[in-house]
Amino acid sequence: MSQGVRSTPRRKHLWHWLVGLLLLGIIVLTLFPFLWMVAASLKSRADVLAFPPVWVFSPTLDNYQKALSRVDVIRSLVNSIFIATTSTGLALLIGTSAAYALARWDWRGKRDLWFWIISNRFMSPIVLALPFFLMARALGALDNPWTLVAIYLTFNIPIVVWIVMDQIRNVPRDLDEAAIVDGATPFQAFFRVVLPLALPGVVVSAILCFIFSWNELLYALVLTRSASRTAPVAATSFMSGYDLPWGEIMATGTMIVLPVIVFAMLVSRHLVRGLTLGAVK
Amino acid sequence: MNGVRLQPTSTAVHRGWRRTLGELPSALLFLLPTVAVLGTFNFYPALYSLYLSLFEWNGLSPHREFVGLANYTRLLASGEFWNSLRVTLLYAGGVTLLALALGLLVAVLLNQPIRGQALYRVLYFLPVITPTVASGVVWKYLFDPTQGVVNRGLAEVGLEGPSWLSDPSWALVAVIVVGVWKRVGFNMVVYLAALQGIPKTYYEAAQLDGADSWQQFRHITLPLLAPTTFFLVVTALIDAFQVFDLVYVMTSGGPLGSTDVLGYYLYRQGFRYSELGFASAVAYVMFALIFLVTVIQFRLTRGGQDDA
Repeated sequence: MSQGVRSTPRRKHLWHWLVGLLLLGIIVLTLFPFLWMVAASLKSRADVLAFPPVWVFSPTLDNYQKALSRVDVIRSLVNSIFIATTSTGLALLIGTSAAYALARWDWRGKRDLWFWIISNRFMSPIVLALPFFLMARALGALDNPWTLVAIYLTFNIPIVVWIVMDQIRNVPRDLDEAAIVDGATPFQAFFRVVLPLALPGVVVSAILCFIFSWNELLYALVLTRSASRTAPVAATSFMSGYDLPWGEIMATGTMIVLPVIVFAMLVSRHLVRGLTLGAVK
Repeated sequence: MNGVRLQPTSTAVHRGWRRTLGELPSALLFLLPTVAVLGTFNFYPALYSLYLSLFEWNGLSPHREFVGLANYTRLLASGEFWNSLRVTLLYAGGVTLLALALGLLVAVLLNQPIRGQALYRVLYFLPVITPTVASGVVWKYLFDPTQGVVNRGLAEVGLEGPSWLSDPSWALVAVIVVGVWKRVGFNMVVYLAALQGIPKTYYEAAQLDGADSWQQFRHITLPLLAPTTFFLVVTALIDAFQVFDLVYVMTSGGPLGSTDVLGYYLYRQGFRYSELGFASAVAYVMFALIFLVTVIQFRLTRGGQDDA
């Protein structure tokens, strides 16, 4: 009996060590691809090809220089930034208004409308790619950044509505009611009183919209040619032929991944909550 | 969880609210842009696609020939389609199950009193938000038969690795590995939140009754996680069914169609071979499969609407 009591803390200690070790192992496996990508992007061509792989090397920015000297890559990064920010901004403007209406008014069929809006998020992009392509072609809107902005809206607006509506419900109704009694229009009450208080939800949904638009490949692939090509498409365009320029590819990959990771680290807690919304009570 | 919040209220406060804010017209103004955008860009294309699936059309000729359901019957008779369906199910099943098990394992480990839990959580989560294109190219590099780390590592311990992405019996395995890598973090975060919601008293009571760790896990944790597990399985299946980016970047559906998932099959038919009617039929079959899973999930969980 006394022995059992004494051994328990020691066994607990051992268990904690094991848990820590296992977690560390899994983390290394999880992060290894990132580390390897960044490492390869900083290696000289000789170091990239070295066998066995070199772990210590003198870093060089050659690959970045080479990647960026392809006109394509710079232009595609600019396009990606424009498309992702514009689509995010518009989605916020449009989606928060809808969220306000859904949070503050009641009418028959509201739930169905809500469901319809949210269900758009679950539309399969691949299923709609063909009609989008034909529509864009008929309108002469292929290879136009605004086309991607508009299409990304259909995925971004539901995210905004979902998250911001939740947030607005937590803002007391008395506040906008008071503003209206004081003579504000519903629009003023919404933009000046409610929206600032729902800011955390707005920020989370903005980040999710940005990440989605920044990462998207399929529509960017089929709806753009060269002028409005986005960064993910540009990255895949290196991937042909036999002797792949791995250093340059990894440099481009790093440039695509970096903004997303920086964002994620900055707002990690909100991000996790936003991404798993609906799953976590 | 309560469904009360959404039901129309008829309290005095509510009536006062309606009077001051105005009746529905303002609400409609707020909603109009959303409905207009979503209606134009999702409703219409979905119907257009259905319409197209009844025609044979190469996308260029002014003439579309109405063929009724011929595209669908041709689809069901096509060996390539059944191969795609089989590959998609293997991919979806593999990623879903493996990522579920690993996600639960990591969540349980992280649920211990550990220093740096928040940091661990973020780091595990990174692959989830990493652009698929970047993940695809990095893993393609890791799996490169001669220059890749995987085979070099195997060579170090005296094993000769397969040529992964160019080997028909290993390509899908490699793509599944990447799919799992991208999914585990999501499952872990959701499981962790669910684990933290289980009252400690349950475990204390079980300990008093003499249950060991495994028994506690088996008879308390697992059953209480069942709704979470259900949610994760459904969302993982929906996601995996639509996979396109990874396959496009890593294998282009090859070798020998061994990674030719439905999403990629559809892309080939529509955008490479310009079989627009046929591709639309593929799209509709995919749509039906995904829609079915989505509806089941929404019905059973009430769409997460009650969650705060």
